[in-house]
Amino acid sequence: MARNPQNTDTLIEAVTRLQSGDKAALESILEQCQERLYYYALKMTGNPADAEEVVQEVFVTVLEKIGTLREPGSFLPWVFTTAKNLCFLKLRGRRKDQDATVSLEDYMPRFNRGHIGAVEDWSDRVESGALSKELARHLDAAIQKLPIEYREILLLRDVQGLSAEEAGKVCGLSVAAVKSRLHRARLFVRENLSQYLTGAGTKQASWE
Amino acid sequence: MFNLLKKVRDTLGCWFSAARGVSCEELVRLLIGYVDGTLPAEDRTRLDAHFKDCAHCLSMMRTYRQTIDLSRGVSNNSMPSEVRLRLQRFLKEKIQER
Repeated sequence: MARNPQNTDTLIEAVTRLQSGDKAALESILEQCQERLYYYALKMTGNPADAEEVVQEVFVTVLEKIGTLREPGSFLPWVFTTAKNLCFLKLRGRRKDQDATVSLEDYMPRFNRGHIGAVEDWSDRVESGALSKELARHLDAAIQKLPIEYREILLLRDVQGLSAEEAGKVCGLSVAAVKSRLHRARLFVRENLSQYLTGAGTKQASWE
Repeated sequence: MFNLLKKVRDTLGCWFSAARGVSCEELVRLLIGYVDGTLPAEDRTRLDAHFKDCAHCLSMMRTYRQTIDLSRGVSNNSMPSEVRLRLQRFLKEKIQER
């Protein structure tokens, strides 16, 4: 879900109200953030029970520590930082081979003396922003396959609509590092969607 | 025959474009700035010129952009209704405890 300016205004208003002691404002914050926090936690942990616990714990933190947030406009980076830390706590102790082990390199475009191989244009086959259930399932699976350091950036930047600066704050990375990881993550997801939408069996655009 | 001609046209366009300025490899490297609107105007012009000659890079840019657009909607309706209800109940209890 991209950040809608209207939603953000309402969110900032709700955060301000909660900071001044209006507990009813939590309902509005919950309505605007629960879905996106749940999806983020689900993709980060890969486990619905963990994701549910993370969202619960994030909202407990919001209730208890909202007074420590200086700028209501920084609410989203703040809650996603909390969510991220909780997700990594859940992941700690899990065997590494349970996580994605895919090689990004296999999904990057290939070049021959600087020239790209054939690339099929499937952009007209789906309406912008329109996701069929089947396509959503493939997109979801592609995001889940990303190594976690790339997945977290794509989730924050493209799925949640945080700015590069905000995503960098959440992940402790420079803007340049965010952009570098995001670009590779997008290319990976794009290639996965290409394979599904064009029925291509190869892992990347090949030079012919 | 038509496909062969198309392939030759695409390949030649790509080579001419590279000879004039930006290669496909450099273009893909700069694509994030182009799509996010952070690329300097001079580079943007070079990429626009390349797109006119290279159908493959144009396809790459369009599908890259479409990937971003699709990603924006992927989290909608991901939360099961029972999880939503449990969360509401949980928070009501937390508020009452305080």
